[in-house]
Amino acid sequence: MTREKRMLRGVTLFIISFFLFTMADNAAAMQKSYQYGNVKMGQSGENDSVAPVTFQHWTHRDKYTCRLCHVDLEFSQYPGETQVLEEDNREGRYCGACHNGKEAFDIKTCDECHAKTDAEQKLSARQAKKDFYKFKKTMPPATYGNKINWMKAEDQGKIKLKDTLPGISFVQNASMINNRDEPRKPKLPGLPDIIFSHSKHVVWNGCGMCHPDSFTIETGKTPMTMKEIIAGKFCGRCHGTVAFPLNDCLRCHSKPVTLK
Amino acid sequence: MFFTNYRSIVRLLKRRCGMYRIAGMLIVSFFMLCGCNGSKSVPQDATLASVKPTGQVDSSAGQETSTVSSPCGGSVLFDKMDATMYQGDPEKYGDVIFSERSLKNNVDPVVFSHRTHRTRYTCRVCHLELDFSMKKGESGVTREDYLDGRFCGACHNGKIAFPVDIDRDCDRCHVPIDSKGQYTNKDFAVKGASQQKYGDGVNWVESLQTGVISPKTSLYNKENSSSMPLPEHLKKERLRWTAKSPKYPVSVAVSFPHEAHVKWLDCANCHPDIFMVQKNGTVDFDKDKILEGQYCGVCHLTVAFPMDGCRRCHPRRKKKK
Repeated sequence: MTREKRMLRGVTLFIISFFLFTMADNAAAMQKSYQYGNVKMGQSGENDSVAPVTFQHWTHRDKYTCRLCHVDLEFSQYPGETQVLEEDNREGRYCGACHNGKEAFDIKTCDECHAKTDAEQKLSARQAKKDFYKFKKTMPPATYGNKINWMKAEDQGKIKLKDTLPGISFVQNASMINNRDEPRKPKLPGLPDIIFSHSKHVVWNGCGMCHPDSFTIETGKTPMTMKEIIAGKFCGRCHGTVAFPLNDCLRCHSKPVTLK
Repeated sequence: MFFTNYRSIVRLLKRRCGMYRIAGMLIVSFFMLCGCNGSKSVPQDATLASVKPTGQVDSSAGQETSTVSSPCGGSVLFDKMDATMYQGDPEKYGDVIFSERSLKNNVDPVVFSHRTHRTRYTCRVCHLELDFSMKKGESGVTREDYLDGRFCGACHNGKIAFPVDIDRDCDRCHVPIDSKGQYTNKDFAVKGASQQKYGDGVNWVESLQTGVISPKTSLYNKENSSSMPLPEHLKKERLRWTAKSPKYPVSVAVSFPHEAHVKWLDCANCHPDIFMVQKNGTVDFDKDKILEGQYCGVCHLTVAFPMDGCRRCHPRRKKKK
């Protein structure tokens, strides 16, 4: 290969990369409070005639516990892992367990979840935003994530959570439930101590959401770092996507600092 | 910066003929048009370009230059830095023009002045509590939003600041902008503030320290407004490190004060989305990226003091005794 040819190839590569780079959007979009916890559910099947569903956690969190869907209804906590099919829904699994016309609206009205055209999608997104802000006004405020303090809402009785579905859930044995607070010391001196409250988690999650897959059952035996949590392990499995985000430092680092 | 490339292309074209020549000419003209003035070029959106003020630093413009980085050494970096230096009117530094929606609806765009707001509120109030994005055009504020008490409407409701729902006051925010991107902004002086020669001319960090300004840190929480206390080792001293890059044959001392930032910002404004929480945990962190508007460049190109204040982050190295 002559020098010129090599040069010419270099120039073309250079131009292509220039175009590619300018087109790529390298900054992550900020998550808005009304979109926090939204999950796009869609599989690329052979006949993609329907649009993906945008599942909104916030419309479900005021009625049901996390456990109900993620344990009893077998929804995975990772996007794209559940692989819900139409026949699943029709036979009463996943969404179909509630969306049968009795517990919640029937799935026969496809448009409620699958918007068809782009214009429809925009419209439903706009409606969802309106609904969210209307709902948010009735709830205790928070600074991060959804900007709704779900824990407080449950505490104050503003939302009533259903934990079981007849015919699907088994009633939990209450004697297994642990309400202990677990204090933890952060590695860096000067940071407030961490208090993990079992009782606040148990209301939503029961035991099986966290143990033993994310956390071993023995106290203090799960080695965690903040970096791993941010990467989506341990606490980061929920806190960062659906439950209040990790930015809300003081919610976990909650014990005032006592130095010496 | 493309001079070397340009010459080689011309030399090459002399030997070639036919299709290559035409293609080469196109390439060269393309570079001349877009690449070389990348930093000063207007954004691709034609509607936006018409209202862009001439001197204003825009992060999207910075991105174009950096993407064509070539391994030519330090001079490229300096070119880029020159391009991001703010040369406009200090009064207009940090102004953001909300034009995406208003132009579609034939309304004059809103000119938001960071300067007037910084004396009263810290960054975290709007960029965290009120959901304003740090990226231009991402917040998507609608009239419906602010009339319902969100975004601007959280303060501009007649109780905290002048209301937005009365027709007569529209022009306090919606300012006409001519085709050259010029507009008149109200005179606003920060009384007694310490001065600086670049950016908006006000040293905000010092002004806050001396108590000339006392911005509120939260709209909702009265006592426990700010974020988590800093760990001990960050309270006592600045983070210091030496920045090295395989691209450039220089190494520079960097010093970062957490203390000065925490007074304005929440932990969450930077961590963990912009910077990882661990030291050296942020990969890909270099000056090029900063000049593209990432990392420090998220604020320190457009609102916080611009890159002209070199010594504020890159102190002179102390000689070893």
